[in-house]
Amino acid sequence: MTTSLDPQDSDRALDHLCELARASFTDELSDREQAGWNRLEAKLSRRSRPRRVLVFGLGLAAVAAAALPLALRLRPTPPSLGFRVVDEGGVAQTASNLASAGRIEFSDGSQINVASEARASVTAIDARGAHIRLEHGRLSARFVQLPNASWSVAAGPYQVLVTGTAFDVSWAPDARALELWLRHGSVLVKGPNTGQGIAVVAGQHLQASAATGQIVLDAMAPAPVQPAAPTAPADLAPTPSPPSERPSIRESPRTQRPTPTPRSAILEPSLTWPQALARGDFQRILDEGARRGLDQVIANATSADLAAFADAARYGRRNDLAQRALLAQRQRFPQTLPGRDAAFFLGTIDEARAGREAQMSALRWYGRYLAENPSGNLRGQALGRRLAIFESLHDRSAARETAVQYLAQFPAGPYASNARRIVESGR
Amino acid sequence: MTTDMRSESESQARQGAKILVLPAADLATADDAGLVRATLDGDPRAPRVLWNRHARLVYRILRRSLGQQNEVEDLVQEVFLNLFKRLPTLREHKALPAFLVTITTLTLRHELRRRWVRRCMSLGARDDLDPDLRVVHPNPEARQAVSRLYAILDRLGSEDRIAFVLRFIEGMELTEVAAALGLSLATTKRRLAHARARVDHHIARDPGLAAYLSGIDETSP
Repeated sequence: MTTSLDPQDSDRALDHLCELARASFTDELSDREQAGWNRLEAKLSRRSRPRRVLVFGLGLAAVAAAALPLALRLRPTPPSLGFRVVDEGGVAQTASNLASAGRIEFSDGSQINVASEARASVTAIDARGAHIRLEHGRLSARFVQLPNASWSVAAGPYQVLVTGTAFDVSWAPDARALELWLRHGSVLVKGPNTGQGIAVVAGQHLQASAATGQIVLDAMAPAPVQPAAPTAPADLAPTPSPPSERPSIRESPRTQRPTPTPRSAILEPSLTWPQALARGDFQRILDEGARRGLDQVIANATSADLAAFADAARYGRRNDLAQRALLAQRQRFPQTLPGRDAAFFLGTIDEARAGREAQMSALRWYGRYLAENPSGNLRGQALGRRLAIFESLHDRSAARETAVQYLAQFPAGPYASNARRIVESGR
Repeated sequence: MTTDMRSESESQARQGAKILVLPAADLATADDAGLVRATLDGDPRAPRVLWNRHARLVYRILRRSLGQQNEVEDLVQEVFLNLFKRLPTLREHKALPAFLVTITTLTLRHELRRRWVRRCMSLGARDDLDPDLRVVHPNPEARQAVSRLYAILDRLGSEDRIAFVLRFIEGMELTEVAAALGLSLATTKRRLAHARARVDHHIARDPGLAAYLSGIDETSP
């Protein structure tokens, strides 16, 4: 084999060498290589920062260049809103950043109160509204509803898109968690795992975790901390909505949505149930479930579909359907997250029924959820619900014991003030 | 929050809150199209899942193309940085693996050219790595044979080398090789024939390899 190989030898030799190469260079990864993601993530975040600035700068320049001739020809655009930053002592500042407690007052009457130790900034402003970035902590906002108003609050990867409303929002950068309490009006929250956005209406509370991707939308419980600075004007304090505006917790969510709701009307036919759920189109899921046949759904639906169906049924006030779907979820998919969460939701269904027996059953379901989910996302809610039930049943020792447990795990949770009151009353 | 509102909210909470949980999409079981969508939608978990799923493919192609087991980490990082930068241009989301191979190929081409320049600058030194350190095969004779194969591949142009590796070592289909190189099928076939002829030529003229290959039987390795 010094000058040439016949084709057969050549093929065999090449096959052999290639096989050796395949065996020599595999796709097995060392520990360091497996941890390569951490290096990559750091590089990605480093790369994205200057690029954003550059893109923003270029975009701004392009917009300015494009807008110049138009500005010369067309009638003048409405003047941009103005704003001023007022600190605790009521002194106006020129900087847009707020490092501590204070408020931002806009020329249209909209106001933002920034809690102590929170940090927010006005990153853009025009005639229709402003873009506010919440870097950490909590703020309380009240936006004046004007035609074509456009306001937004960005917190981490989430965006709260506003027309005219009042809400509190907090962002914890370390936990990558957003929390929103909506007092008036409605907002659309966009971010990881929200699809086209989740509509939140007055009286609702939303928790979103960019770390886990889970989103919880529930009835608004008392806010943990008041963000308003001591010198905040009285009209910034959350005020109860007039009865006609305030949606009852018993109302169907479809009737709660104050916007014209063309969103559900324009849903694509190919939308899956979880997608329809994310868009708030609960009735569509129930209608499709009825068309397929309830038994069929209970027996054959995927875990995701079954969970979406149960949620849609609960929100559509069809607790009978929800109960069946949740029990099936637990039976058919006991090891999945929806399967484990089902215990909690079965508790909420029982809790909504009148009578001591129903409340005891709710307690058992919540207890089962807590036992099965040592690090579940609904533990705070489950403990809080048990606390409320024990209190309603006048079981003071159980309520106190639960309150202590709750405070140990969720000292700033929505039931914390209630728990503290119970603990203190027992002393 | 006023006292009235707080007490009302507490009262609502006592009555039984209605809670909607939107379950996190299970990205680990999502298909490639879903993963690309989630990445483009800004789901912070998606890039990591994408890395976990496809890093091995990139490592393997780079190792087999360069003949190095342990020196490709920086290139893998470069491939993924380019992937995330170019992902918005991917039209068929389910074609993510092919897209990734194309980006890997482009990165490889750049690296091979860089090495070629470096070799030229160092007056003909073939490589700055000891060939025996580049492979991990347990059999010393086989290890030597693989080193010699990669010494032969070092003599090929970057495109011929990549085409050869993708087709004969990685075992890709002709159409996949063509797509990865951005060439027509006919050009790819010509390039592969050229690469194959040159490899055959050099194997036949390597006495060490000839001696090793004459000792192998039909069933080895």
